Amino acid sequence: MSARCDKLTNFAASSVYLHQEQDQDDSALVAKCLLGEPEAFEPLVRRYQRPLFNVALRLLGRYDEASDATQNAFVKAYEHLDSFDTRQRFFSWIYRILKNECLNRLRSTRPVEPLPTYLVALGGPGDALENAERHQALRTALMALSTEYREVIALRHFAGLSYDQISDTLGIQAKTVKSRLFSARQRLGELLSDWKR
Amino acid sequence: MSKWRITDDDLNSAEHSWVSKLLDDMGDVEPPRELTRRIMAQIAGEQGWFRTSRHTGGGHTMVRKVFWGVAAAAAVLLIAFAVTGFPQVGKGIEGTIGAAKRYQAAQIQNDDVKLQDPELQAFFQTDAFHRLTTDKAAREALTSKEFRQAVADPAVRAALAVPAVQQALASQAVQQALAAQNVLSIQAALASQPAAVQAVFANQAFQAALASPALTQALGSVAFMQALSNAAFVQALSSSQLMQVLAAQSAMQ
Repeated sequence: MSARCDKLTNFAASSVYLHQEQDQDDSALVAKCLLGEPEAFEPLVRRYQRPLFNVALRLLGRYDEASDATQNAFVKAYEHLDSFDTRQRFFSWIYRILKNECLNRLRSTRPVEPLPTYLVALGGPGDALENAERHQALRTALMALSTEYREVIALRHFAGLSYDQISDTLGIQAKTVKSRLFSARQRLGELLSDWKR
Repeated sequence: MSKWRITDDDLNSAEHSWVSKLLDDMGDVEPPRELTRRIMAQIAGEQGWFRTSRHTGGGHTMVRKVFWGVAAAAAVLLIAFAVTGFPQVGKGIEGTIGAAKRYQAAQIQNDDVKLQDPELQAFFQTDAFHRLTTDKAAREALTSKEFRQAVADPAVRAALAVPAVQQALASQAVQQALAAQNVLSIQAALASQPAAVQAVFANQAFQAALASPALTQALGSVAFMQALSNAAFVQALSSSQLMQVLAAQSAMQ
């Protein structure tokens, strides 16, 4: 429990999203770009590339694809900065660009691999089970979820957003976020039941 | 099937906590080390979409064009408000006259323009800024070469730093000032008689006369905006005799 709290605290400290001052700072950086200072975009890239890359990674399941999708999302965002509504959060705006990028890639690439049988066939997490193996099982299970479920899992667990922040980012009610997260975790639990301690 | 409402307790239940722990233990992944450099390199023009007019000296970029559109649109709004009168902010008309005087473009020197980030940021947060940057019609109408030459960039920036101007830009009156009819009229007037128009707006007697509600109402009419594009009208408006009359009327009130 404390480890989880620490993790969330670290997320908050790393400040990937999410305070009013930061929102204003983001808007100011966008404005500088619009005023002809493209280098002002770099702090935005540094600030958001990690959460965006991680969400892309969980949506796409492939490191190189996630890297390319993140890069394209930032470049497209820059190209359309003049359409950014400064009353919005920059993260929410660029997230939607990234999501579209990821969905396009998912449509144009081979379908997600089905859950391998070894996940079911293996007898469970023995003492000798390596973390890497467990993580691989989890990654595979994640890719077996619908995009909608993967998205809330990624935003919550890999980008460190609160329910309200996810709600804001996805443009859905917080109760819907909780409902999706609940269902997503439940499905993951079913897929990974053999690993339950 | 009806959905039940999921509570925090449900999400933190033992049934879910082990899945959460698995996910949290996996942690986030470091993005490629060169990702920032790749993105910035592409933005800097490796893909070729960034430069739009290299022959003009390389300084004109897509964002520069957007800036000019924004600056020009903002300038037109400022001029429109100089004509129609700044909306009252707070106590009364004295404040609006003060704001109008502070705005005077012709009297601002380059050295005086020290636009501070907080001021700029405040403006960037306004609805007006968003509207200016997203209103395609306004941008297209205001990016003519003549107009850019007529509007002094430092003056625009300085004017945007005036709180009263920022409030005015965010007010409902902006919607009316943004009407294409008005914008085009002012643009035409600036293109044909830039010095004369600016002289009118910079004249203190003219600004003082704006204190008259009746005059303000008249100046804010569509007819006046359209008349601005008439060179003879502008010349007459800037005549010393008219200014004297306006000053006398203002003093009587």
